[in-house]
Amino acid sequence: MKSLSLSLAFICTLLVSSLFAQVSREYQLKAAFVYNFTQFVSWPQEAYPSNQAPLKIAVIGENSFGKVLEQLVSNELKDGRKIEVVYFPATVSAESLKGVQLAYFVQSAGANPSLLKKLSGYSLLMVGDDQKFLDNGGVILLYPEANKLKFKVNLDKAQSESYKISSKLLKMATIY
Amino acid sequence: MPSNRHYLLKLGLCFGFIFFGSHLASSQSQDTLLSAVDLKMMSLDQLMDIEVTSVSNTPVKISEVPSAIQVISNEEILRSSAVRLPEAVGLATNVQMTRVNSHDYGIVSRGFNGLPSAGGILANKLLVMSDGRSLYTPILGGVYWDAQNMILQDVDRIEVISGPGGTLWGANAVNGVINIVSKSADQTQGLYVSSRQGTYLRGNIEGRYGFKINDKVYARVYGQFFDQKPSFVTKGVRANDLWENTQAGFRVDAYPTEKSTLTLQGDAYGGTSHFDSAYTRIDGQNILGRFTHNFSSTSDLRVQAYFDRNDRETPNDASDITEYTLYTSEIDAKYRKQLGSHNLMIGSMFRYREDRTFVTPETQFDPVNRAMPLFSAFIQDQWVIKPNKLSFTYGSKILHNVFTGVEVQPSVRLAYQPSNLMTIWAAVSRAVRVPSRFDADITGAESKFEAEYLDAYELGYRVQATKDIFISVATFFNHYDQLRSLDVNLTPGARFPTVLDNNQRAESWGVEFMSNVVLSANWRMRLGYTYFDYEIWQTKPTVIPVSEEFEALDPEHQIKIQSIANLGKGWSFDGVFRYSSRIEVRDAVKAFVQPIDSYSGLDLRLAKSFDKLELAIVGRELLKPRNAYVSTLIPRGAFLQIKYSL
Repeated sequence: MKSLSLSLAFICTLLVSSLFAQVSREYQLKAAFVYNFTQFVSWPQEAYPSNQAPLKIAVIGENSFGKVLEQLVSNELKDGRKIEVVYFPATVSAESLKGVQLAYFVQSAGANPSLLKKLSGYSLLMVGDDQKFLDNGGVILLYPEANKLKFKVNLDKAQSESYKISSKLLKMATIY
Repeated sequence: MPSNRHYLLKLGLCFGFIFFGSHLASSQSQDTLLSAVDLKMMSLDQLMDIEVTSVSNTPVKISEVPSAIQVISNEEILRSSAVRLPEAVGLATNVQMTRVNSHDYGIVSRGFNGLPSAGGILANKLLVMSDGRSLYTPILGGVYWDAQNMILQDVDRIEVISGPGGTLWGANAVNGVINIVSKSADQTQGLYVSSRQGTYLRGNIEGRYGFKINDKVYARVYGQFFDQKPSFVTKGVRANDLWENTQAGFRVDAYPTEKSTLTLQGDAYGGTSHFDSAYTRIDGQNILGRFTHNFSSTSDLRVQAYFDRNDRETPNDASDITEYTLYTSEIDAKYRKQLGSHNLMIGSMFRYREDRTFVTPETQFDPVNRAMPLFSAFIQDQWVIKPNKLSFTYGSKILHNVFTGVEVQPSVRLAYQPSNLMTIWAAVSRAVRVPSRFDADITGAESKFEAEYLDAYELGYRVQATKDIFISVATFFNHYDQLRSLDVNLTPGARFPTVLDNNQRAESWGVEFMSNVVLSANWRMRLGYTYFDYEIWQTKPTVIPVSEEFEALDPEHQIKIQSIANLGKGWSFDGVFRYSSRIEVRDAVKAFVQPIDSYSGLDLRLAKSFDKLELAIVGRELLKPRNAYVSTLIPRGAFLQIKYSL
């Protein structure tokens, strides 16, 4: 009985800390892909508003990532810049995404061709998981195959932007 | 019969414990989740190899059915001190693993490790499957762990479900089910070679080569050799329990279309387990084929068939079965379909087993050879009453076996998610242990052995308490009926002075606490504590007192802690700590059974990896060289591992 009360006390201590939203395994993995993408893409100086500006990742649509993406990028640097995560609704305007380097369109948020079209030329790496994401003007599509995540790159679209995707990343990708 | 008040009090305590924390409970099982540390450390290559088991809209996996499940990942196995498969299984905090000697292990969950000195083979209430193939032997009931080996590097995960799993898994999944899942061939491409040399483990050499046949077909072949030194009886006196085993096998995975998978795998092994002046020669072969097809995201089919032969020969021990050969052929199909708010799963299986035993002056199985056909079918429906809030799972398995005829194993499970962080679940199930050949046939016509029944009541919760802390607590109350007993044979002119019968009942109750804690980006821990208590009583005066210990001899408290830490620059420092409390025995049986001292075990591992090469030094049983349960003592030991992967 003594051990029971001990474990009870142990649990209490552990549970004092605040609770975070739980994220599906799928989006945990997707977050890790996004974090990796930032390391394989280089943005020119002009893509940032200032020298001190952080690299910004925008999550557009429903936030299926919870806090996972933030956890992954906290304390990480990209070309000496901090990495920051910002969240927008699916109805975001193209203008609000100025100064963002990578945008993740969660599911149907990526099914909006007019927004995606407006964003071309923004030096914005557009990543999404809606089936038609690349047809609608996205750059990288994350898709499941045999219960694993793969990614497809729209090379023409990527080459028309000022950022550079490393050949290492392209080697692992399926080309659209 | 013991007083019920006593049980209610204990049960009340267990359940009070749950209600106290119920507002803090979790939605998805941790097993499907990855830690932030894992995610951060993985390269894109590795990420692309991870299964997205819980993609939204796909039906719930079997393993996600609300139950006390724990999953030991490949990393947790490789970063532990485990060398043998049963040691990897023993990492789960909801199993009790006893190392009996140099080659045998007694593994149970929720107790009933019958007289552990019997070599673990009386642990008959836990079903163990390896890639869908049953490792449970029908001769004595239980698993011959000395014949179960795998390259741990290629084990994807070990799922351990404590509690009854009869509805999905069939007979003998009474106190739990263990599923050992190996990696697919495409996940094990390239060369892997490892050598371990040490003081107690004399040597282990293993290698695997994985290659691509074409874009849709992948394969691997492997070989493994073990040479194990003996344990000891007292200081300076060695036990003669040497063990060696050689095994080889292959696996091919083909993806003919994007929606289907075809797997063919097989193993062959041979070895020797010594004990005193006797030894057992073991050999076995198996081959398995599996086809899965996803018709859509809401329906899929799996068909599997295998053939398995194993043989154990103990030539100079007249009191044992001098030779035992078992042939198993099985075909099994499962189909899953989502219909609105219902996830329906149906399946059926036919298993044909045939064995041969050899008569000795002291033992005779009657019949000597036996055919054991088994038919079974199940249906289970998960009714999602309110998505992400409330679901109700109900179903039953019905099987027909040669010993007791038709058996039914229903279960109902309720899962409630107060928030997307927590799940509270409750279950009521019935599970059956069908007689082994030993139970049914050793005293022939002089007894009629029936199935054992369990009615189990479970309550649990899971919570992702913070981003770094996951907690799972499961409590249970089990009621066993027609439990095996050893009785005085009152038949006039009887050939056997004692017979096996079903004249015991038991109740057991307990709490399983488990937590995964991420302490920093480079350090995480798995912690587990189990509380277990039980009472057995006899329903007839003919029962011999030692029958109780024959069925169960289990510690009340058990603690396991695994620590995994990266020190940087390729260095890692890991450890496993185990504790189990003293097991007292009743005065009535002190002449036959010794009380078992409490046990603390500590294993440490220090490793340095250089690109493709890894060197590790592992120390095992670093505290007192003694054994938790039995007469032979496992010495302190250390080994050096050199691992090369390309």
